[in-house]
Amino acid sequence: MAHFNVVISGASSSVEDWQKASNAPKTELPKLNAEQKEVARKMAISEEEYARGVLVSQYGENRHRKRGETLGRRIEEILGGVGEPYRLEALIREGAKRRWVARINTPHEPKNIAIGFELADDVIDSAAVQDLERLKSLILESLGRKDLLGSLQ
Amino acid sequence: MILEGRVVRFRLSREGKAALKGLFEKPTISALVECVDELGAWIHHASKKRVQVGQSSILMLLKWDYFSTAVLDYAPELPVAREPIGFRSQGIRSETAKEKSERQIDSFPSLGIICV
Repeated sequence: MAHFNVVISGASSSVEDWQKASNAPKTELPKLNAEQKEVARKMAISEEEYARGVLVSQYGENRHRKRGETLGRRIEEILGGVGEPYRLEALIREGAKRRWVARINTPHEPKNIAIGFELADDVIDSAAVQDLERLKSLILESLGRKDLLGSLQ
Repeated sequence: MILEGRVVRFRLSREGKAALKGLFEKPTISALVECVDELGAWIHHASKKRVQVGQSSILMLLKWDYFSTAVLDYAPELPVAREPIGFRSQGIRSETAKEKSERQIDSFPSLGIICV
């Protein structure tokens, strides 16, 4: 279980989410709130069709949350080498800005570190040594601990 | 507004109904937007035949003129909590970053919006 919060903001869905939601049994469909029911009625869409659209978004959000947990664990591994006072508090996905923001508690103040999707995706999907090194470099530099760059494994 | 990767409910315009006659049963369609360009929105449209996960699917172009309005569920992105700059009262306990973050999350319910 992750020790940090993952906040998904501006989640996007994939075609796999779309296909999975299209095939989902009716029992899995989320309940619509009053506003959503009203929009479905006005747009002449069945509530089931609307609910499948909501389910697509939920699948997308869950997928991003799992990816965030993977990225967060990598960040925690890096912080583990820096010392106890450095702790990942939250990881926030900002879809529109195409970045994750890691909120890290330091001995002095909380720090927000932006990690672009390109680097984050590389770390999550492949976790090759050079990807992890790039992440480590970004984290340590942002924390003002470049002195540890060569020493941490 | 970034539409890519979102499920959008489009209502066809009069022009769209005429041009797409026979393609859609209803004047309103739900679709996942793959991308948008100057021509319109490229959509994954749910066909009656179910597509299995991992199989390729066909994208359809919905020209900008072919729909009159669109609806999607929208939640504004949360601002990242930042520490205030300046003096802090010693007598009153200030809100912690975690409390502030939770308050911000609670204050942004999901909204339905209509783009015309």
